[in-house]
Amino acid sequence: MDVLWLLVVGLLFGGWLALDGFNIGVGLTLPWVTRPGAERRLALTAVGPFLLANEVWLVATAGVLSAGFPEAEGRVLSGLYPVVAVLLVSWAVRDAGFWFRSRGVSDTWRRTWEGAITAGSLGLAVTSGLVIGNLVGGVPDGRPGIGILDPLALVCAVAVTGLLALHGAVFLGLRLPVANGAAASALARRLVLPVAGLGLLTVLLALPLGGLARPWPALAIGIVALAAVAGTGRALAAGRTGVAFTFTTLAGLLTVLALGVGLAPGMLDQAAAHDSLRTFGKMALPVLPVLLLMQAWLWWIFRRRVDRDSVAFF
Amino acid sequence: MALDLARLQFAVTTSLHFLFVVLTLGLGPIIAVTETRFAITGKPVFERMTRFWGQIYVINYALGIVVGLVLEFQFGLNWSGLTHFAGDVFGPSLAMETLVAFFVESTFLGIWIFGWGRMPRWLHALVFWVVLAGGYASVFWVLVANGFLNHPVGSVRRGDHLALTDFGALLSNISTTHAIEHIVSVVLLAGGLFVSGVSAWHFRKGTGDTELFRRSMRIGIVFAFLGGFLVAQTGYPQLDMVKETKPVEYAAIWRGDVNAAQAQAVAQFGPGDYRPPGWIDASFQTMSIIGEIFEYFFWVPLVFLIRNWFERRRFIQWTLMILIPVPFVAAIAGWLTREVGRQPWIVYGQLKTADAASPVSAGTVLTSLILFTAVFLALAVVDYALIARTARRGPDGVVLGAAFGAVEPPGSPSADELPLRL
Repeated sequence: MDVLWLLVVGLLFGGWLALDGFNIGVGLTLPWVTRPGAERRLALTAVGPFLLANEVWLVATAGVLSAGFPEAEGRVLSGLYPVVAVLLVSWAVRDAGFWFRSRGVSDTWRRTWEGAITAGSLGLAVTSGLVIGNLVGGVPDGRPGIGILDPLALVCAVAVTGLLALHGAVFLGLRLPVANGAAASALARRLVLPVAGLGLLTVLLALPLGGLARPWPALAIGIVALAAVAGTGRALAAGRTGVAFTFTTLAGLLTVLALGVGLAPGMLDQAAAHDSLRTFGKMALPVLPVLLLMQAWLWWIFRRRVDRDSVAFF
Repeated sequence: MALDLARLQFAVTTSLHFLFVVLTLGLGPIIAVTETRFAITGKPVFERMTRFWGQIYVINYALGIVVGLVLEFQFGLNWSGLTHFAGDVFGPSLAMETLVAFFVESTFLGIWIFGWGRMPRWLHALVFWVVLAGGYASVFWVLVANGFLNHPVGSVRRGDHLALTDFGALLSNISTTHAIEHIVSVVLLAGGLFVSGVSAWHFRKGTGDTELFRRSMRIGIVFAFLGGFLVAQTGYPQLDMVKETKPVEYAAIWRGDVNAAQAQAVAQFGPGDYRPPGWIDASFQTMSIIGEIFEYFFWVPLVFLIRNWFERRRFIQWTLMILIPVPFVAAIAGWLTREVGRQPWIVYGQLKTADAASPVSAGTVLTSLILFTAVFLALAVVDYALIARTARRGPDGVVLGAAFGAVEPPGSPSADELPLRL
């Protein structure tokens, strides 16, 4: 039962990184791949339907963590207090940017909230990278400030930021009209090599500096994630944006899988009592397939590229 | 010091969240009814009503969501003692809230906002009913968690933590069920008074759109009548519940003998001060005075509907406008009474708030308190200004459901380059 719940936590957190990851990436790359005005709003329209549905995966991660691994949740969140606090504020600023940007008409108003989207996305990317980097160092023991900014965490933060920017740029290339998505695809092609390099550096640093309970399988999965980044480069070069997006999504999922496999023994020690997990399982497990179907329906409705007929709210 | 700051942080974020959530929950049923009438009749006025109130709903939703995100994480951040002590009992209901309520609500709200014209109108209306059901399911699960803190049933002490013994008892906790009835009443009242108050403003200013605001006024007043009636009916039973579950708080707010209740608590829990802060009495009085107004006068708004008096009588319009903030004040006052009245306990009779704080320094908590408060207050001010502007502009200024080509008309060079259809 506890292994199952660890898989659910992994699925939710991995889902968040892979899905909200492209919202964040769009926010990061927005000023560089779209022209101000209508084109920028078109990019916001492209991610619009997915914003709420993607970010909710992290809320669900926290929820399931509090039920399945309450001890670990308390330790991770309070142990990484400053990082989590900045993550939450960045999240609020990013969302407010999306919500408020098109509610006013003046250039200043729109530029301000576009800035909020980019700044919030940068904060989210860096802090989620720091959280992952710190977890590679092992589950925190609840005392704050232990190695929050050690070299491994910092390199990991830059690597995750790069990966999410790549992911977002590929998404824009996939969902903007072909003519408007060209700049995003071009940026994505330029990002592949640096992201792969930073990823490799993270994996190499994790060997001497990491504190994973099971480092070798985690490293092997990390290498596969790097291969997915390389695959993105090849797909982009061949002009196959859909395949490239699949590869960047995989890279995000594999990153979390590597982390989960590496942390599993320590996490399982902190699982909730068996009875609680079973009660919770009876209620929650049947719901999970329904949730995935709902998300699939959302993707089906909004599967095409945006155009002038797309509903714009953001 | 860190403890007080963490409590203040929780109070600020929860109160802000609650302010916005009250309107979300109150507007939701009105929009659902309106869109269903549009789906059935196809009359344009119902579509315009849905979009107008829907745009206000969505703008208001923004703050509910961003502040709510922080709440979900705050238990782990500031109260890791609580997750350690009661996580096995308290965690599942919070997790269910995120999975069966918030997850569904978010996914379907995205479909609703961006799915106009992408599906048959009955399906679009149905999507909103799912959003609404998600919101009310949140109320249920959050109050299961909160009811447990106020009246810990279904669990037993095992070593240094609580173990879950009876999940059913958690779901039928009187502290939970009583709170749900009362909160549902107050949100219906708030939603109804908001809609009738904004409509009254439009009649007062003579902005036109008479049919839309006449229909809005009617539905708003019907909801305000229902909510106003229920709010007092569900309010008094709260007192019996508090008397049974939190006797010291009952003595503090209901002219009881606080010292006797304190002595009894000492006999039960050992030496200590079990009295909640004295100011909750003021908070309780604020709520109950407002409640009494509705207890006696809940039917008055129905009189305003006779021969559409609200369209001509300025004093009626003025009354409805000043009533808009009243349920919000009562809701916050009531929430403070319930939560502060539980002090010094975080889990009543089981764990003191002082023993639940995370081992973080006061400086860390203070920094995050300042950061959260500054950012959220600024965003709340902007959000309320946007809601007020949207409400004043009326249905013609609404963009909810509009196509990109309509909101970014050709003219700017970059807009002209966009392809029409792919």
